[in-house]
Amino acid sequence: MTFYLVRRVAIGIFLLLLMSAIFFTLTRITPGAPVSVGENPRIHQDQVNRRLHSLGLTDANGNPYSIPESYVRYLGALVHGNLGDSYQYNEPVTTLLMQRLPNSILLLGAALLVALGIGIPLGIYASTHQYSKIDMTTSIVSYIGVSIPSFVLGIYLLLIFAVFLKQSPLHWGFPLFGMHTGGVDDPLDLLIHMVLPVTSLAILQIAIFSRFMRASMLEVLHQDYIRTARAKGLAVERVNYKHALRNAILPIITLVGIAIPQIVNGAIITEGIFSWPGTGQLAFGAVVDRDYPVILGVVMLVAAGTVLFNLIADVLYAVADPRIRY
Amino acid sequence: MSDLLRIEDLHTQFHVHGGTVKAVDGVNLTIPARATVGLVGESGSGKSITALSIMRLLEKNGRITQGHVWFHDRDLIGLPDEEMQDIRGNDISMIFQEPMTALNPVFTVGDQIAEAVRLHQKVDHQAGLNRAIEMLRLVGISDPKRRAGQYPHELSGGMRQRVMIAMALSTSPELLIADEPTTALDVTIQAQILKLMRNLKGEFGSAILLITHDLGVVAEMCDSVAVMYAGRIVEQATTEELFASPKHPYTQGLLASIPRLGKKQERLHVITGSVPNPLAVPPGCAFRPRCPIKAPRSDRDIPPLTANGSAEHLVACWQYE
Repeated sequence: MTFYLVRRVAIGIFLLLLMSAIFFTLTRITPGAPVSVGENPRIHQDQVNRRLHSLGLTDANGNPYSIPESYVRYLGALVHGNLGDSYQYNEPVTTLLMQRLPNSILLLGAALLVALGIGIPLGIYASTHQYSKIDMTTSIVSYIGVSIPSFVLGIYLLLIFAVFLKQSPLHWGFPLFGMHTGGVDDPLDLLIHMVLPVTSLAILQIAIFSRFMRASMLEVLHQDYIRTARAKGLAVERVNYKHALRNAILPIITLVGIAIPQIVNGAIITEGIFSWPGTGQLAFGAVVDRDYPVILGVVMLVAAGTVLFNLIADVLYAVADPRIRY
Repeated sequence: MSDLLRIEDLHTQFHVHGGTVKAVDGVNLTIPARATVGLVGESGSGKSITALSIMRLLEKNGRITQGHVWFHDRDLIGLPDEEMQDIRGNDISMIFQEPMTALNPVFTVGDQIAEAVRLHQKVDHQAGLNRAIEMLRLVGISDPKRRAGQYPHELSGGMRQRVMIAMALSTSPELLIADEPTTALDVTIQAQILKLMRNLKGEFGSAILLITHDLGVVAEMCDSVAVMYAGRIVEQATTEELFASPKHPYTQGLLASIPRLGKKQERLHVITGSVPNPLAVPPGCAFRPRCPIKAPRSDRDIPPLTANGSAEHLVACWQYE
């Protein structure tokens, strides 16, 4: 197990290095620059040159550093935990990330919990009541849910709550934008602000979890050991919720490991739509402004998170399934 | 001997794509207390479905349409689910053909045995586990305390079948239904498992319904035998009687197909043809298409199971009419 963990962490670090090289290159070869006369005709080329030099993108003579050269400098700083300073905010990227990460974790965590809390029971119910009305409905609705990207859903939610329901008694008065005014001191207000973004992020995952859970349960329910459990005289509920569920839930662990980066991806746009001050919104703005250090910072954070959660999922799998030993 | 279990005119049907399969079509069978009764027949003859019907463990598309299963003086067929659960694993236990898949992979074998004990004997966790360890010792597993804490994948096929037997007998049931318990095992392990079942039967006093397609197993284990073909019992007798003077052409064919040591045979006897399509069983006797005798009337009417020679020897064939 220890050897396995060391090996996995080493592979993870290698992957992160590889990704940093790829994304560093990609951001640099994207057309456009953080400052240019083309975008802002009111500034002089001299000012642009000075700004590019002060950002560390050009040398004293105004010649841009080569990509490998700047990448090595970026890595050198990264080793010391320095992700550079944002061009836009004039603040260290780490500071920006740390300010916004808790907000994102709150939103994404809530979306994941909601998705698991609804998707898993729904899938279990559908499997133990196969071909019932609820099973059929779940299948159809989740099919639709899987097909709608969360950012499209977000816009529709906005449209419904901000436009269609505005004058109707059905307008529940959800605050549509922003996070909260009272901060964590006003949890109820915070909760209300979370409803729409969490909904738009969770729907897709509810659909995935319920479909997957249903299929997994149905497969297990046809196994011989389920018949053995019934032959012992166990009640149907105990057979379903102890013997079947314990086996059927195993693949869900891996699925959650995959779902986390998916939700993070969805959040980049969803946070933008609902003005949620998280890392997704930060990333969205950074791409628009060509704020290279911030883009890279967010990408590396998400990449590290993905590697980490996959590792956690694999370790949990080994804990939950006695057949798997590393 | 008093009757422990009496199956009366049992009919079990399956709804499948393309129609209804009469998997069990009017079976009568009596299992006396402490007896070992063999139920033989080839795949698809309905022997496993008969067993699952007794336990009421049929898949969703299967239904018992007619008949009674008397256990002592209670009819299992009409019993409410809760009462049936009290009987399953307690008064009647079952072991299955595939020991590799019959145990739940995520629970220790000790826990799986203890679960049945706790459920039916209302004892606490530790008492259940102690009983499980004791049972593992009884079925000949060495170091039972350590084995009880292991998972099924850590045990061999033969050991898993021993675990299944331990689980089935842990509540001292009056009837043990063993559905092809040795079919999936190596020949040497088969002999060990059969010997174990014989020994434990003496110890626990359970009756056994032994389902098999292996007449050798029957000869070794059973007091009496019923031969099934296409959902019906075609011959029933004491084991000795059946092997000495089989009366139904199907039984005769089965016995003739056993290779014998020391007897020079060019080829093994085969019963020509194959089991009828369960969706289109011929009218009259289902065995007629493969029957060397083809008695008159067998093309129209199903032969009833009637006493022939002695009251214990029953045959369903028109040639003895």
